[in-house]
Amino acid sequence: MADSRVLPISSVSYGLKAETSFGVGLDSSGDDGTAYLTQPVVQAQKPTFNIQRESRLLAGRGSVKNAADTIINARGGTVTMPFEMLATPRTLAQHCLLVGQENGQSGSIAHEMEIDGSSNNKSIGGSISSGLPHSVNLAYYPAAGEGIKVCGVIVSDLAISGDISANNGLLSISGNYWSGFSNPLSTSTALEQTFNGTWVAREATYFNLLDLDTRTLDVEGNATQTFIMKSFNFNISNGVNRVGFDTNGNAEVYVFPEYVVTGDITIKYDDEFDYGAANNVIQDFLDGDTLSLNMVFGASNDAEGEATIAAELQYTGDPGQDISEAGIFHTLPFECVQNSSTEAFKITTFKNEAVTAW
Amino acid sequence: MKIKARENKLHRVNANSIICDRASLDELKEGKVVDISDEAAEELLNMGMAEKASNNKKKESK
Repeated sequence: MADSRVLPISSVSYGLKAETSFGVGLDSSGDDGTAYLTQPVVQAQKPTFNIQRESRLLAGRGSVKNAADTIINARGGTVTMPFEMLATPRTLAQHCLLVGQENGQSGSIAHEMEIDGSSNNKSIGGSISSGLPHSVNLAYYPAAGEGIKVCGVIVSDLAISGDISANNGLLSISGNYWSGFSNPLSTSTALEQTFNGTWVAREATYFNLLDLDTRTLDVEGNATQTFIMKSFNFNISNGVNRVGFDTNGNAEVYVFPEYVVTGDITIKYDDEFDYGAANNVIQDFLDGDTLSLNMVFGASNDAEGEATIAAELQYTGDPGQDISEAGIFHTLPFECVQNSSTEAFKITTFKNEAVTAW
Repeated sequence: MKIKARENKLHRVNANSIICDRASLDELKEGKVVDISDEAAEELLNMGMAEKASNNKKKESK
C-alpha cells in the first residue's frame, strides 16, 4: 500500500546562521542544535547540488549504456538555492552583506553595505572575525532526519525591488544562495540532518514604499530633483567563483572578480523629468551623464523599517515609457558606477544587532 | 518602564508580533506615555520605535 504522507510546502522552512569558520558546520555533533534565523519566505526552495556526472557508452557495451560506466564526483561542485521574500530589517542587512561582503556600522546600529571598488572583499576563505567576511550555514528543513545543511553559503546575486502596486508596496528581495561545499561530510555540508535547535523567529517589520520620504535624482543641469515613483529594481551580483579544493574536494577560496549593480526605476513624466531643456532624461542618456539617486525609507536610519539607498547611475538605454491612466512614466534602465569618491551603490539599514548575531 | 512612541516610527510595528499589549500600543499611537513591562518596553526601544519617558516631575513652586 502506498504511503499516505503529504508534505505541504508550508511545512518546509529554512534558516541561516553566520559561520565562525569558513565552510564548517556550526554544530556537527549529530543533531544540529544551532539557533538558525528563520527566513520569512512563502515557499522554501530546495538546495540544488551541481556536481559532476558523466555516463559513457563504452565500446563493446552494445547499444545501451552500462550501469558500471557512470562517473559521479561530488567534489569540486557547487550548491545553489533560490530565495524570494519580503525584506525585513535583518534579512535586508544580512543579504546585502552576503552579496557585497562589506559591512560598516554606525549608531545603534545602522548597517551599511557599499560597493565602491575597494571596500568589498575580492576573495574569502580565510579566518572569520566578528562575522566578517560573512558566510553562513544554511538549514533546509522539511522534516526530522530529512534536512539538508549547506555550509560556506553566500549570496551570488541579489535583487532589491519595490513596486507601489505589488506586494502591498512592500520592499522585496530575491536571489540565489551559493556554496562551493558540495561534498557531504559530517563536519560540513550534510544530508539527512535533524535540526533540533530553537530557531529565531521571523521578523515582522517591513519596508513600506509609502515610507519613502526622500526620493531624489539628478537630471541634466538640475541636481536632486524630487520624483514620483512607481517602481524600482536593483540587481547586485558578485560573479563568485570557487577556487581550489581541500582534502574533501570542497572550495578553499571564493573569488569575486567584479561587483555589478544594474537596475531600473520608473518615475513620472513631469516638469522635473521631461524632454525639455535642463530636465531632459533622454539627453542624460545621450550624454552619458552620471546621476545621483537617493531614496530614504523614513528619516534617520534609527528605527526598524528605515533604510537609505544611494547610487550613482548611468542610463544604459533610451528611457522607455510606462503608459497608464496615471499618465506617462519614464522607465530608466541603469548601471551603477563609482563616481570619484562617491560609491557606486550604498545601502544603509537599521537593525540593532551585531553581525555576530546573524 | 515608562516609554513614549517616537514620531513617525510606530506605524511600522505589527501589533501581533510584539510583547506590548494592544491597549498600551493604542495609547502609544495616541502619543501618550505608557508604563509597561521592562521586557515589552525594551523590545520597542530596541526596534527604535519608542523612547524612554522622563520620570522627572516638576517641583511645585513654593
